Amino acid sequence: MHELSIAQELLDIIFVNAEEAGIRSVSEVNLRIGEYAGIFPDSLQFAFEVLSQDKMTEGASLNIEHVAPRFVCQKCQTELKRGEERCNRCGSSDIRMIGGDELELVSFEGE
Amino acid sequence: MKINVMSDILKANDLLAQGIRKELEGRGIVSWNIMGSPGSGKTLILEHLIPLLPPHVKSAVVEGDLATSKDAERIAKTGVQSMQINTNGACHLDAAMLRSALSGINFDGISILFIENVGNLVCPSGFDLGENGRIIVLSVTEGDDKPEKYPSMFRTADLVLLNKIDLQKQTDFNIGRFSEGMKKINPDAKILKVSAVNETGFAQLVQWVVDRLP
Repeated sequence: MHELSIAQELLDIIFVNAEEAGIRSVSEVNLRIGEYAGIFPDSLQFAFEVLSQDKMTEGASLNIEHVAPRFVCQKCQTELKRGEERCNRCGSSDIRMIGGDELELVSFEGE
Repeated sequence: MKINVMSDILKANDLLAQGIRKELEGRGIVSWNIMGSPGSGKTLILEHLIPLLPPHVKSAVVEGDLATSKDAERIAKTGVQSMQINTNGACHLDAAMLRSALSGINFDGISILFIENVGNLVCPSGFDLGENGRIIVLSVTEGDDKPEKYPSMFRTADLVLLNKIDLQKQTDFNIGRFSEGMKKINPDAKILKVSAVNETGFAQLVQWVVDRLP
């Protein structure tokens, strides 16, 4: 349920940027959210709609690009598939998950 | 018209957190954000840890809960300053809540700030409070699959306290499976097996905390 706080932060950023650009009505909002950001998209959508009532974002569509984490061998930097326990190039088991925790407002559209 | 923003949604919180971190570090204080499910033993661990710290190491505690000041009252009995934050329903602490709680603490002579977050294995992980590191408390009764099921929480841990280890035989908790899960999510985290009720593993826990004093 922290999606409500996140939606409020999102709206605050949009309102400030919209005012600077002279936008009065927002139609699209584009986000990048990592699979490991701990965000449930439906809850974020719901919170966004509730908090947008009577605001410039009312009725705007929320487009979410889901970002998968990358898995990289720390020894030879080979990029691996999720779930691989060992590097298929050097055999090392020192594999790190990079990214996947993104929570970003990319852009929005309006007039 | 399209406006490119490319901003972290939690930027406002992150900026506030950075300010808190700088201020605490300036005062020579190391701060730990303690997270875990309700009932995992976060408060009991603090109640037992604080009296075991060396006498010259003074700590203060901020307690986050939805309601009541029960935890802050428990901590106050150990003789340290404790501040309660009631989130009134919010599922996590954020930097603004901590900022206002810190104004009520006298930091003279304090070298450790423990921040006990709201009991929750999901929401608090995204909110930087300005801490220097994170301690996740997981009790063995919760199951050994939690790191893989709640990666956003476990991947940010510096230390994982596997609490209620005295009950392990009564559960199907498998340390090997847990460690494998941690290795995939966060191989750098230190894992300590503890039991707050009988202080198993607390010598290592005290050492871990003392080793990280400024």
